[in-house]
Amino acid sequence: MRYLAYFLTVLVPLVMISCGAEKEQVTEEEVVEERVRPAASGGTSAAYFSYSNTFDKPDTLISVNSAVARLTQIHESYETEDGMTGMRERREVIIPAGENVVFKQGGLHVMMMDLRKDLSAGDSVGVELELKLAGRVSRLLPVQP
Amino acid sequence: MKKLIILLLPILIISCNSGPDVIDDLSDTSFELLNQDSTAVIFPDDFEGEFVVMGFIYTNCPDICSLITQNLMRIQQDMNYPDDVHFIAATFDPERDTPSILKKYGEAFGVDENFTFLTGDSTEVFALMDSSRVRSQVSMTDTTADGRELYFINHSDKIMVLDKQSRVVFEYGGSQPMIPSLVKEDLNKIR
Ligand SMILES: [Cu+2]
Repeated sequence: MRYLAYFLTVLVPLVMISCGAEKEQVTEEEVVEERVRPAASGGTSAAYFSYSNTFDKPDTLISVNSAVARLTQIHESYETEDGMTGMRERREVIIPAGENVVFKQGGLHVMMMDLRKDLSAGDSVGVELELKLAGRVSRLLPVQP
Repeated sequence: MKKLIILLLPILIISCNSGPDVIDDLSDTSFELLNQDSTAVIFPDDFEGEFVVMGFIYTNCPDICSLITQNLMRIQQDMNYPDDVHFIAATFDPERDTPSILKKYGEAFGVDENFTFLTGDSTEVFALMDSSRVRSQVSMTDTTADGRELYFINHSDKIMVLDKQSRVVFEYGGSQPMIPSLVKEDLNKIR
């Protein structure tokens, strides 16, 4: 994986230049869209959003919950030591004073497991965050592929 | 720096030649699998004569694997649904990803025609994964309140392109955002 990333970032542009091909922008803007993945009942989905800590001291996200899932966890995707991709639970996420925490594809996500119903594009899903300082914060997110 | 140039030079020369290098030849392998409609599929035999863009997923992986599925869909869409390119998402979690689960997953994403999900008997599925050099490993197991087993899988993040002779000619990190444009460009070189 590390080799592959190296290949993509270093070699591909070089190869493109060296072949005189019209080059397309290799890096695309990563858009943080607030949304929930479509998924079928009984399946698994993920929620993405950003949250800003407006307090003047650090806050800690300690749990997430959603009525559409029987089990909800704070997750992050990561690369394992042997180059595979995996995900793991995060017990908490500390958000420094005045800063943003971004849940986005390939990183932090709210993992919603054993869904109680189908989530299709156009639906809305409520996600509740629990923070040490801010308390309970509700978000309504659109289902979007 | 000298080392780097020595390392890069052959790659650059190769990459400027006309045909792509064959990474793996799958034409003499054969796997008996099932698609999302529970119809028997022989891979890669049934796709010979078509280009194949293939990604590897499991459906209980909404983050990275959704990106892979969506990259496949986006390549298909960006290429205007070509007749000569078949899109495949193969699961490495045949235990949970039955044909009907894959069908529902595909419907949730809104996949189009010429897009096949593959699963099957574990032995066949993992033989396919070995040949495709896709690794997977159960990373964590847990039990839900109602006693259902829950597990995640560490896995290779991969999309690959097969030519019409079922030879793997391109490989990519499947979930990365720049993949659709790279795959499209590479495919257009060999089509
Ligand atoms: Cu997850």
